[in-house]
Amino acid sequence: MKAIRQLIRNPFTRGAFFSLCVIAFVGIFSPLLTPYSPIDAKPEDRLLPPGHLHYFGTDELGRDIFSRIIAGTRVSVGIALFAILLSALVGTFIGSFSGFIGRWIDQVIMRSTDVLLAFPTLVLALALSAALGPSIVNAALAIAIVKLPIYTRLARTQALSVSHTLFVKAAKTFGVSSPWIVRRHIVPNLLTPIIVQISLDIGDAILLIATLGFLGLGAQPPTPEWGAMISTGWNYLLDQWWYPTFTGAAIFIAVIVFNIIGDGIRDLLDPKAGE
Amino acid sequence: MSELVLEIKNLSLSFDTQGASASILKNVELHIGPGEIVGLVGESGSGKSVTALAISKLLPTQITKFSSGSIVFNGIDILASSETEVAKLRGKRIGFVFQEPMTALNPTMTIGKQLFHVIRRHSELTKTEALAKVRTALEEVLISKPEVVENQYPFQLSGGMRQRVVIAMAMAANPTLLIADEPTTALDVTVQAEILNLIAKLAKDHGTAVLLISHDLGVIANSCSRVTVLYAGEVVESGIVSEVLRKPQHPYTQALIKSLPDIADRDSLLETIAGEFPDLRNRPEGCIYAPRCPKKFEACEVRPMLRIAKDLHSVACWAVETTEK
Amino acid sequence: MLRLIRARLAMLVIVLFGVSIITFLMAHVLPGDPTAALAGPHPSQETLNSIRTQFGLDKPLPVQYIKYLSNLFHGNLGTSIRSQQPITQEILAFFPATLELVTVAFLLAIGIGIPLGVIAAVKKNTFSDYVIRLFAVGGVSIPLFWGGLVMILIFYAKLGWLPASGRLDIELSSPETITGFYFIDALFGGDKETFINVLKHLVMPSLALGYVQLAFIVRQVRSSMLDALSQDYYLTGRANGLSHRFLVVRYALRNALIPSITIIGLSFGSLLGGAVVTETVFDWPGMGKYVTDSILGRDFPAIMGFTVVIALAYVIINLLVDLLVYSLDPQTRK
Repeated sequence: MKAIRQLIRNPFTRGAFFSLCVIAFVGIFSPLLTPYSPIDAKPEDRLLPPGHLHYFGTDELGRDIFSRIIAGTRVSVGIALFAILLSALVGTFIGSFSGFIGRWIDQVIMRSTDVLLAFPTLVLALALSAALGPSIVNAALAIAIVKLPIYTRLARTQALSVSHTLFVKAAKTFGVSSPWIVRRHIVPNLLTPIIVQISLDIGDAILLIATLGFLGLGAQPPTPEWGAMISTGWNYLLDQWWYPTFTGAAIFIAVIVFNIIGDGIRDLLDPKAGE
Repeated sequence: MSELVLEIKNLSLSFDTQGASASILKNVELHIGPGEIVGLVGESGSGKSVTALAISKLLPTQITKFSSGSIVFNGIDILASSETEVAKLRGKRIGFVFQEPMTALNPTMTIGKQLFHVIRRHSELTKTEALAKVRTALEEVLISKPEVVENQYPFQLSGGMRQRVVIAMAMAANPTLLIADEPTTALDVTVQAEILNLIAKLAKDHGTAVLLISHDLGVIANSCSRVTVLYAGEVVESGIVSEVLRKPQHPYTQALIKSLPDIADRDSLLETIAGEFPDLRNRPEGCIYAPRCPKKFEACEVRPMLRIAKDLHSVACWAVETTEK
Repeated sequence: MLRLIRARLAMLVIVLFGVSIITFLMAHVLPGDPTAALAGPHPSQETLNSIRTQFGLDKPLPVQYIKYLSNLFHGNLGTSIRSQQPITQEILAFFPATLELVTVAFLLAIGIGIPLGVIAAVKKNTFSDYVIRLFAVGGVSIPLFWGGLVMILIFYAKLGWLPASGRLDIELSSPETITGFYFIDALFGGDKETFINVLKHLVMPSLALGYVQLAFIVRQVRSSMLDALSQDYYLTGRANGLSHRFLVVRYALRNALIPSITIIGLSFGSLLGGAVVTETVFDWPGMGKYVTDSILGRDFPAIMGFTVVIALAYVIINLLVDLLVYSLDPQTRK
């Protein structure tokens, strides 16, 4: 609550915060907000320009683009959130045990993260989702894997510093079980840096999902996913410019909102890293 | 006495950040004559460094608010001068030595180059002359192998050596005033004396006036002719060093001296000052030291002015008999 | 220095070994079965089996891996399903175009990004700072393909100033290969029309690709500049009366560059990733276009070949960046 109040105080993050609320609202209530069905084709209305009936025009199957963008909010933002949370959860788990247990397990895990980091993010996501087969769930998995090393390393660093504190050393001596120590002492210390990292990553994940969709590796038709919509819309770029343009603007706005919020949260919780 | 090198009158300033304001200095008075070494003493947070930085206008402009007083350097009104005008004084007329020699030098430039650029900045020397000047400047601060040192990076030098380099840079343009802000605090005890002697010698040779800032009364006692004692941004006492240290008038100065370890009397316990440092966001109306003062009485609810007790020895305390109002 | 290189090379071998395992797993274990793509729709069991035998897919995994590794070691990335040509040769043919695009984008990004980052830090919390930061946050948030799209709509469709695809107009013949960079080759070739045409083709793709990196660079340089500006040595420099410009460049920026270069180097890798999208958008005949075509054609070996090459390039670039940082920092150089 206090964090939200601080976010609102800065005019830069205030705008972003209210936009975020709008995005969340649209995502949650999208079925109620779409003026037309985002899925059903209406061939007689195909490729209409923007007007008062169809704010953003219609696509090649006569579907209302405005409705598809609204429906796509849930898909694109939801999948991005899912991918990052999954990555954070698994990465934190692996990383804290790696740091806590140490020895060769730690070595193996750390070298594995090195290997994953040897690929540019997008290239690895692309190869993984190609290998898993094109679908939106696989795209989410690919993104979760790509982001995994960051969370693993973050968690490991924290786990290492915590496990050297006197308290945990004492707990170890008394034979307290490792899972208990990890849960009670390592996880709470991790929360702040992990939350900061998650908030910084969501925007990037939305971009990645959209990019994979654009390259034909993410959501498949007729799912109203933003990237895939632009991929199809590309064919109509020069004559029906509104088709890919509005959809792209939706991605841009969503990502910039998440990025500004992410920066804001980082500055709040981790002032050193910010300025 | 000839014209003063530095005269600070009634200086008050505060740091204003979003929503909060802290009064850092209140009615500070300080003056330095030509060639004179004046000490400024006080514990950390007393506003010593702020005073020093204010003289060169090096405080962060966005938050610093001057509310009263003046700083006059060699007849120049610093506070009324523009940044460009003050920038011309820095390094040329006012030299600066900071506390932390480990971080005071640019880590990615050789010692020689750093000195070279300072020298070129303040003189009309040609490149060759300036390079020769680098040598002599290093020799003057008693660095034994200047030809080696000038090609080294700061991390390759000890703290004492670095501080010598910093002094060489500060003295390069032969300034009228040298401000040394805790120049020995970060150094080993054995090196401390060398650095202090060096500063004193250079000041004497060049006729440079020095403002020596320290929390260490021992340092002040050995080097300065006069001393000003600062507490929570206010001058509580000021006068000739021997006078102030031997016969401190203000209860704070007395407590400060008592808290020094006394070599002659090993068995006595060190005294600490009871109570807490005041909250500068809410500077009290009355005497700033009253909450911790053992001699507090009714009068202390009004702020005491700095008054002359005797022979240039001034004190801001109601409990002290003074010759003038 | 030598010891550092040796340690880094050892690390590089381990990482590349890991990279080979990952690409192998992706190609051979994950569900996207390459034989299915080869055999076409509704294959008979016999066709599948014969393909499996042909590609050695019936052998146990470790045997397959060793074969794969030895092929990699000899620079053999396999055969493309679509073209039946060796993938190594195909990628090598597309490589210069990608390198040209990425290099120009990178130079644009640092050439504009570093000064903007410095200005934002020096003028912290002023109007210019806010504008630059907004510009930067836009860069990390804009979908590359959408940025390209808007540029095409404006500069090609609306204004007709710039071409929207390829490296060169079709009626012009490509310059004689010297470096593989068209704009350099065209310059040496001496044909002014070709040179200008090449530059026009470069503008939009390199700007679109460079903007993202520029944004990263601005943010990084701004934050390490702010750090450097608050250091004691900067105050000493000011107290010694050094000029503002000199202090900003030789005191602050020189020190801020050390942490920045690591990040800037890493961002070069994401340029390689971004090239995939940019090349697709602008129909740029490079490795990225090659890989998206391979994705559409379900050409699995080609995708994995591309992945290996990019990972190798990325790892080598990071090694070079590390060495650069070490040589910039006097403390590690000695």
